[in-house]
Amino acid sequence: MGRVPNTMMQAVTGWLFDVYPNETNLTLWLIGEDGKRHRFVQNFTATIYAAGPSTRLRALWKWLQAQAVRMHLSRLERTDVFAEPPVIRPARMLGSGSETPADCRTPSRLVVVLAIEVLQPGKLDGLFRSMVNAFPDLTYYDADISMPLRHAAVFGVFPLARCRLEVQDETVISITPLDTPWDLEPAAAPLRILSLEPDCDPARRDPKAITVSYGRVRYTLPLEKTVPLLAVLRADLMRYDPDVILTSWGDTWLLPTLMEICRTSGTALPLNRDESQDVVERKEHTYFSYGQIVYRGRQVQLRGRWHLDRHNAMLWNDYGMEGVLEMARVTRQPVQDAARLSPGTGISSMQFVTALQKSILIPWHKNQAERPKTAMELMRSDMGGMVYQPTVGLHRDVGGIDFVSMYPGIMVRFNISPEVPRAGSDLEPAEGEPGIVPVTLAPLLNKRLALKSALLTLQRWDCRRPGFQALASAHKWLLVTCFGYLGYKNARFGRIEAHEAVTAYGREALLRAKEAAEDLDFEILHMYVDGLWVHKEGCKKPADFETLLADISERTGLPISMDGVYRWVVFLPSRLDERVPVANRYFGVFQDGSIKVRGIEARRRDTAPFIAETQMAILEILAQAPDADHLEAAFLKAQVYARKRMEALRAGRVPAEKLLVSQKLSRELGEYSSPSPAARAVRQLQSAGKVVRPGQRVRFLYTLGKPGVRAWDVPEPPDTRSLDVRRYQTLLTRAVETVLESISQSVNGGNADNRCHLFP
Amino acid sequence: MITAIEPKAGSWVLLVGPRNLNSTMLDAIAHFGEGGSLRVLDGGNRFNAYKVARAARGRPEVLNRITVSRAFTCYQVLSLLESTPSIPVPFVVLDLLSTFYDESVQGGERKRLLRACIVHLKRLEHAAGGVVSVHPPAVPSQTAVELLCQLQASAADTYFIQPAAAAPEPMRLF
Amino acid sequence: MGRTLPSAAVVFQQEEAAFARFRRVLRRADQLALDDLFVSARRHLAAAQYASHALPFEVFLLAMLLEEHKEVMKLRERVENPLPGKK
Repeated sequence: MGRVPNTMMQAVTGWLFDVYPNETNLTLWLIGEDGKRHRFVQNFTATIYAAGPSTRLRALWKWLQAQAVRMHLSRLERTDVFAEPPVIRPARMLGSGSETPADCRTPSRLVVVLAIEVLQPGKLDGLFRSMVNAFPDLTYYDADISMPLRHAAVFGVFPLARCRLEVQDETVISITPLDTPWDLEPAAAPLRILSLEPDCDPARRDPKAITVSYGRVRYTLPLEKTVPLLAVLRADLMRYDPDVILTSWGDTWLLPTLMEICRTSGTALPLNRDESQDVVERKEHTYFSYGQIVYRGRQVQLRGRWHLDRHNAMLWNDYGMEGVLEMARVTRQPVQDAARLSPGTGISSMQFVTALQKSILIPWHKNQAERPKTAMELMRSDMGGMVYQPTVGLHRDVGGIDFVSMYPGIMVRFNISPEVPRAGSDLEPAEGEPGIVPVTLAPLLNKRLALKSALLTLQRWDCRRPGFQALASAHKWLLVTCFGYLGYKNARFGRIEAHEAVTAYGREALLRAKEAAEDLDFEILHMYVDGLWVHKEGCKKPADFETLLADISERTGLPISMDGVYRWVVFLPSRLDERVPVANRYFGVFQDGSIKVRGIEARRRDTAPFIAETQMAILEILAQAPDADHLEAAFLKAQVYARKRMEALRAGRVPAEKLLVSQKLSRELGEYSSPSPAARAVRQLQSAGKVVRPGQRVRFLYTLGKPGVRAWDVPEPPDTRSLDVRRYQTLLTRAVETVLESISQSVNGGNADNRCHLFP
Repeated sequence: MITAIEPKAGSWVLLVGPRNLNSTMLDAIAHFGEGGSLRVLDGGNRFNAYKVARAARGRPEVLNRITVSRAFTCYQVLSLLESTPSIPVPFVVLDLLSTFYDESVQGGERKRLLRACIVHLKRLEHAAGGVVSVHPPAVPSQTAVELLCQLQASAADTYFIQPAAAAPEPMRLF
Repeated sequence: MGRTLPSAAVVFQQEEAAFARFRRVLRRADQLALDDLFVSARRHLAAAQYASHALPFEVFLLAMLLEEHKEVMKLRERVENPLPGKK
């Protein structure tokens, strides 16, 4: 007679919401189809691998057996894609004396490893830290991969995946995903969102109240009345039981403040749904990345519930919550991490999942150094994308042509991956199995292309558009990052040769596109890494460029598309010398009236809003001209507008917020020999008790006299009479001239001496 | 002057100087390349091949004899040294310690890695010798000093290069 | 990450700066003419970069010559085919 289980096995379907380790195994949260929020546990093991001399591995084995963590140890062979292929060993004679098939095998990259299968996933990090201290000389693999990623790799699930679970006694016996990260329109989970907003920016002033909203409820609570505050919040959290707590400044101020209030008053707030777990607090820190200082603020993360802080979510302005969920879905990172971490970490997570699924060891440290090159070879390979100097000035009927996701496309099409050997410098797809990088990127690239096609077919008013655009934005960021990541010194699956191969293919593709265009008698006005601007008399509509597009695609093997046909476009010269052309600095109007702008003041983060808005408004006016021949009327209108804006500035009618300049602090205050405006503003903030770290942005106004700046985020409001109006006037003039100068020359018959005087 | 310091089989030499030592090192590399093959390990991402080319007057026969590999982390520096074969080609390591000043790796770990690097320098010195250049860190620290001392202790000779003395003022008439 | 060698734009600036002493001794009008030459070479930085020539200044000289020749061709065209009404 078989064993009778205590309870029946149940099937539950829903959306996977949270996964994290607990004392013994993993906790899973599911938003059930039944509307309930289910908490389950699942047994799970995670394995770390160690390689090295056999004597050391034996010592490690003994050491591990003495640790108070339950684990299984075994000796295995696993693939390290970076291992130098060993000499093929002679086949073992299995009695026959004849050659066995082993002699004919291609050299493998197998290494002998000690596999450490940890049965209590929550103990893995601690164990690894001690292991490294005791045995720093060994090579480790799969050492710092988070549990949610491991879980995702094993079961094919991801955040908000629709799954079918079989559970018994709250324990998950099996989990089956019902959709994939690549579905365009997955069934959306019914998330309950509770929003908490302080009544002002805590960096400016101390907030006095919090507004709580969820469903149809919305009310404001004063902060100083802590007892009712906590009581009401507690009641709301318990009654509404939100899945997401969405805040402004929740990471840096709101939640830490609430938690402090709880501590001093001795009451608890059920921020976590899982009350057996602590709220996760991470301190702020500053670090170097790509030669730049990056600042990461403090964070508060929850368990069983998500805390998302609008102001601490990377790229929230770009793609909002939908984009964050898509990032999580596609990178398999938990939503709270996906919101806060960079796209580079996202790419890295995706690669880890691919490697885990293919049983490829993930090195703990990236060790590979470059293979030797001659000095001449270095000169040929150490270049970036091809950047052409444009033909400066205004041009009409210009076709803007772009390779679609060029670098990722190259990585996938030509199989560029750190572990894939390349045959010399020939630009041909590498032979053999697709490498980790292309395997990881291909589905993402396909989804991006599918989404772009879908967006083209949607009507402008289709309500699915914003959602799709958010998804497209998330994909764009990931794809844009994956190339940089390929060459990143700490990327596990990165390699400088692969990075250089990608740029080499890119340059070649652009050159072939140029040749195709010139063979068809197009004039090349500008080229920039993955795009070109071409012109030919009589070619005014996208259809006129079809043959060219087809030809380029044929010659390069890469997908290419039309950005649009410009009615006119202006390529700008250098600000220092107008005879010198400068790449990627232009503005133009497409046939459909939309504007494209690169490299000018309106696009720079440190430009004051008033000036950026003026510049964009001028472009909007110019965009009203039906074509380049009718620019004069628009030009005159723009001139009138510019003068009005200048007058408003002179008369003091521009609100101070619109004149804020926002610059990054590039180093510690002490390191400046002569402080930049940002540094001087930071000094003022420091006197007001506010700390600013290198890598953070600081907002300030230009003022008269010394120190010439006035930080914005200090308690006292600024004195508007002290604004350095003349300086702003100069900035405004410069911004206006950027967009109107070339138009004026074109309108006045191309005579540079006939320069219009914008501001008499 | 630096060019007077030639790699000699059986030992390796340490040059400690300011950051602009790099320029002279590149001239030296071109000079060594005149005499035969040379293996350069770049630990500071400053191997400006154009400067070397200019010093060698653009001659491809010299430039093709000089090979270079770059390391961007201290782990990669070790890996680079590990994978360099012991053949009779002299080596030059540029900015060996630059990546070791990165404080995101623990001090103890960096010292361990450097010890392993030094073992390989000892291995490589036999065939044709070599030259290692370092410059002090931008921000001084105890660990940086210890790393430098570690290196010094195993070099056959250490030369401290002073910043170039200011050119004498042209004679003023007024 | 990567980029070890200076870009063509930086190399160009360095090469131009290397001629500062030569330029200083020239008459002012000649200085301006020399500046024009350097400016004209800047149109071809992309080609100079891609060329990866061991001695970049040779490529810049070629670029200057290229622009001079274009100017000559333009002037020759104007001389041989003057616009109607002009002499």
